[in-house]
Amino acid sequence: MIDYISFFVVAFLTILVIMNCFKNITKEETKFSFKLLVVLVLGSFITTLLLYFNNFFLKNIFTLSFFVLVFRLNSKKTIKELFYYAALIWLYGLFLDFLVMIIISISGVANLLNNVNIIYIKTASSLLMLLLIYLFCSIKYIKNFTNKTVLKLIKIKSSHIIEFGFVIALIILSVLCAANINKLSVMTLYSFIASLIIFLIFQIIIKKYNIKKLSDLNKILVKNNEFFIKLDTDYRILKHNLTSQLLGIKSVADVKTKSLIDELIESYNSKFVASQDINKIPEGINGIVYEKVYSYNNPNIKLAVENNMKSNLLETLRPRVFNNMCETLGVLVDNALEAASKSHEKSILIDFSEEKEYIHINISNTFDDIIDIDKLGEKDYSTKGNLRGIGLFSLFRKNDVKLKNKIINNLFIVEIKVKKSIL
Amino acid sequence: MIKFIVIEDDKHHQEKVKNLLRTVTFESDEEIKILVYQKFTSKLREEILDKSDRKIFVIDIELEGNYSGVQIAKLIRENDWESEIIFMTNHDKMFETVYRNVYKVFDFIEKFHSFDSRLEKDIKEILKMNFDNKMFIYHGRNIDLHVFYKEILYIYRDTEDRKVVIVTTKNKFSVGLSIQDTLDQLDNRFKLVHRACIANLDHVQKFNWKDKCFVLDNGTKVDMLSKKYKKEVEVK
Repeated sequence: MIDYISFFVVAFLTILVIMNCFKNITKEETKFSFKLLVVLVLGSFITTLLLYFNNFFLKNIFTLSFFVLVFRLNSKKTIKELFYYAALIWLYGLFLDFLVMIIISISGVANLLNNVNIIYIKTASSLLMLLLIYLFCSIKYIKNFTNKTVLKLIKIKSSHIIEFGFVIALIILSVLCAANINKLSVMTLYSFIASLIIFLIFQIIIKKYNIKKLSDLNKILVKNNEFFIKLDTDYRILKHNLTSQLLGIKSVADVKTKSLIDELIESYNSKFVASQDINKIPEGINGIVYEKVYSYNNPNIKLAVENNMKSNLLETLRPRVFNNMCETLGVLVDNALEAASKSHEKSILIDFSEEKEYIHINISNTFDDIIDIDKLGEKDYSTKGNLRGIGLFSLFRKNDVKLKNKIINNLFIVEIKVKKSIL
Repeated sequence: MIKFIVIEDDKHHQEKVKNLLRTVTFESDEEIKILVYQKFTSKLREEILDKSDRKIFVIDIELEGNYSGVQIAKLIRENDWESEIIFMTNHDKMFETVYRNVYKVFDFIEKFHSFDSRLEKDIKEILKMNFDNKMFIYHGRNIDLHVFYKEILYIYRDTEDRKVVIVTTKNKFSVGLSIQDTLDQLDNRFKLVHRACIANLDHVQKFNWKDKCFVLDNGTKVDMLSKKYKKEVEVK
């Protein structure tokens, strides 16, 4: 009975300590509720049973899953992120456990505890481990390391994990086959080689299909781009001709009509101000920016463009990278237009430059807003209202396009960095 | 020491600017150094990256060579928001507005229209200013925040979200710090006026200890003032 109670207490305390470690590392607040208490008690009970029946495999699987569930009750992070946090904290526990065992065996402390009841030893060592894990997870370096590692791990796609897992399984099977080659039948060997070939062919077909899909999307973007450039050119010509004709009419008009014509010409010109610098945008992405600026239709926004790029983007970037960059640019230009329009200064600067290996695009815009610095870029957060935060969140997950953001007073600056492809 | 860095490719105009600067700064108490460059060089880059002295850049926007005036301004602002930048230009007003806001350009002066008087006026104004460009810096998960101390009006703790909110002249930023941690990063102009509020005394017009509120220079009234901190606040 005593062992059962001590297991239960240790399990309960473990969950509380791990929750605190998670809170320390992620700086997320934990709100205690009756629901959480019920879950903790139930979880502790199940852990106790698994401890009691000493099923190592099941116990660790359940513990990891249970940590994820407990974190999820108070956190808005994705299951994937929570799993990585739980796994890392669990690994720290294993590491500290291993370290403590070495210290105990070297120091000879184990010999002093020969006459002590094993339950007391287990309980005391578990409590000591909990204290060590708590202190370990409070170290600033460990907190930063954990957060950075999780950020890197969540960028790994599930398909890559499956591929990696398959390759590992294949290597293990190959080693087993090689070790037992005399006992294997020819059919088994042929089946193994055939499965390997089928898997590889399958992978090649999927990759080719994805490349074709991206190339087609790329062509649509290019056509779209050309369309908007043509539209802009036609609009300029129309404006020029209209202005000339209106000026012609003005010369024979009375005072009132002249003033009306002047107003009309000014309204056409003011709508056009934003587009003067747009011609400087590199070919390939000018269509996207044209579309965003024109559809936003706010003549008060002052847009300037600096282009110091000499490369042709369509030739310098692979289709997938180009598409990701276009998507990123589209979202960021949208955000810049919306934020600048609400600000007093209403200014946006888009700056294109390149170095040997990278293309840099800087978008700077003025803004007047209320921003939660820690939540910016997270899934459900937006300064623009509900259900609008997904754009920025999805951009941070792109591997090909790196983003760096900063705020300098009332200036929001995004630096996009894209690696050139070796074609 | 104050360094004037003139970047102008026209030699005649270069001399003109240099002479003007010498005249304007003649009576200044500070040590003045005037450096002149015709284009962007490695020496100029070193000068830009050197943060030891107060700097005022007078740059021709249309420089010949690999770097234009705007690119030089961009390079300056990558690491330095303290120095002042004056552009010499012929460009249109909209161009001017965007760069003024984005690169915090002090002024755009047209080369062939009241250039001397404009430059003299600007230099005198800059020299009178306190070089107060200290910044509060906070590194969030996805973004870094830099706010000039002089722009911060007050800081308070939001008890609901359990975050510190920095209220500036134009925006509000929530950061995951405690009031004490925030105060530790700031200088003496910031004082704790309530257990959950720090005020920038340079922006406070008056303290109303009776009604437990203070009024800012923009007219905003903030109801977070405690008599417990009166002594410290009045010992400014």
